[in-house]
Amino acid sequence: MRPVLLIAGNFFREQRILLALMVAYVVLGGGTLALLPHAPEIEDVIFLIKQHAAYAVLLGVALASTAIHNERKSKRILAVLSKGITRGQYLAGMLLGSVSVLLAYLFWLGIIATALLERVGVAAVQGWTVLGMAATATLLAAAITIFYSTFAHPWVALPLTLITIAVPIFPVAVLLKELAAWNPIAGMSLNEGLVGMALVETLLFWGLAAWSFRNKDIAVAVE
Amino acid sequence: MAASLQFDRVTKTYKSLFGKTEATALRDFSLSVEAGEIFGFLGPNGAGKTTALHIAMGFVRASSGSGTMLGRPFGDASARRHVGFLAEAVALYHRTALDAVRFYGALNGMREPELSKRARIVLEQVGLTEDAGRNIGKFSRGMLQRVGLAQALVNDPDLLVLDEPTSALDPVARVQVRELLLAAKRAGKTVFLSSHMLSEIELICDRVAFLVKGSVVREGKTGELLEDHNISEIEFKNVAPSVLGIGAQLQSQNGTHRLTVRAAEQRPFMERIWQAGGEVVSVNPARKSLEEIFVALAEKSDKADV
Repeated sequence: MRPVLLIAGNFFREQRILLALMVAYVVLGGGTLALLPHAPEIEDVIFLIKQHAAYAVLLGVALASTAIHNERKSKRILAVLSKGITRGQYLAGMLLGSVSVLLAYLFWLGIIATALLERVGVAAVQGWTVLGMAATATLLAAAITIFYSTFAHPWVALPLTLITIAVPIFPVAVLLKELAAWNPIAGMSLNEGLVGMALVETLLFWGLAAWSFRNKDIAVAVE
Repeated sequence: MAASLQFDRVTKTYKSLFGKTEATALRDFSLSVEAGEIFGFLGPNGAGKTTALHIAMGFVRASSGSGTMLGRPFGDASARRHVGFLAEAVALYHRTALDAVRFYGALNGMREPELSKRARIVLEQVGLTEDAGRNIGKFSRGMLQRVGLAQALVNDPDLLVLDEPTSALDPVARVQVRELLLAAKRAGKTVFLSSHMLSEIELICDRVAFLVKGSVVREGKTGELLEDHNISEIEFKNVAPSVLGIGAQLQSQNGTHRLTVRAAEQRPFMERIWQAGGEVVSVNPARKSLEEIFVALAEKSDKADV
């Protein structure tokens, strides 16, 4: 587990500027609404939360699709894979790293959402429920993308992922649909079955990715 | 003696996406690197050296054939824990040099406080103590190569696999690295070294192999390979070279003269020296440089293709 955490931590560190920009975007946008002298419109708050939650999923796909490709292109992958780690551990680290960036982003969104929802009289737990669903969707979407990126260029892995997550047997699309339909007045509860299914499928796609990557040539351009 | 690294009839063919074109990087390649030796792996660009190294490290799979590293099949993660690898173009994450070395050591299962202690030791060995706290993103290529070497050494590996470890280094740093490799050998480590720095290979390697177009064309102990048994070097004294009718190909120092002759002419020359009252000090096979052997093998291979 330690190599996985080390690789994940390193990936998180490598993405810290991107994360800082995304968090700044959330904090500035949401903070402006929160600091208004009068309570913001509830529709504006809902739109902001939904918009940023959707960004998290898209960012997850984008980050995961380029993660391995960038490592190969920069040749940094060689120094990592020359150590006593398996390819499966490497992929688990990259997946965990991608997801941890997005969880940090969603956490900051949750803080802002809590402040905003309280101002418009909605229980903060609703916001966290929505973000929990977004996090689950992000995790599965990233795992699917990592799987495709083990054998395909990001430009191919990206559309393949988008096609896959649109298939109803993978809960990403269903979770996103529920996210889009969220209305705090009607309320929302966490669909545990859907979340559980997404977590199982995440493991399945990680396993597929590890299997696909196990014997893959790490060919890099020779100087 | 046990082999630290063994390639057994390895062939590697790269195919294009739809298999229309292919390039063979290694052909039926066999090689054995014994424990405790420094092995030089030589060959022109495109000979397949890096491919062989990458197969051993498990980055690339052989199309056919097999091999072992520290007794385990190529690609085995547990074997890599005891290996130090330096790629030709060093690419590391941008952290301070100390953090970078610690990160790569931790990936090999090392733990504190031993990890930090070893990281500082190896950074000192590569001459980067003062720069240990600087971000390697701002390092020159030579300094980066030294950090690369440090991360390869941090786990005190039994086998070092180095691809052009001194290509970006200045002469002083090269001497440092040479001393480092010799110290590793004295400590019983094995070094598998690919390099174009032939003079260095000549100085430190116990054995060398020449790879041309994916196949080993020559292999042996460095000293033996450098000896040219067709040419003899005769050292003599107590006789003036003019008496023997020679001069042009002669080197003289402190009354001792050295002459290179074809092996077939060795005996008649020695008799002429004796007849003139001279004394033969030594007779040895002439030595060639690795560069001469390298160029000759590369040219021979080119001619064979024509």
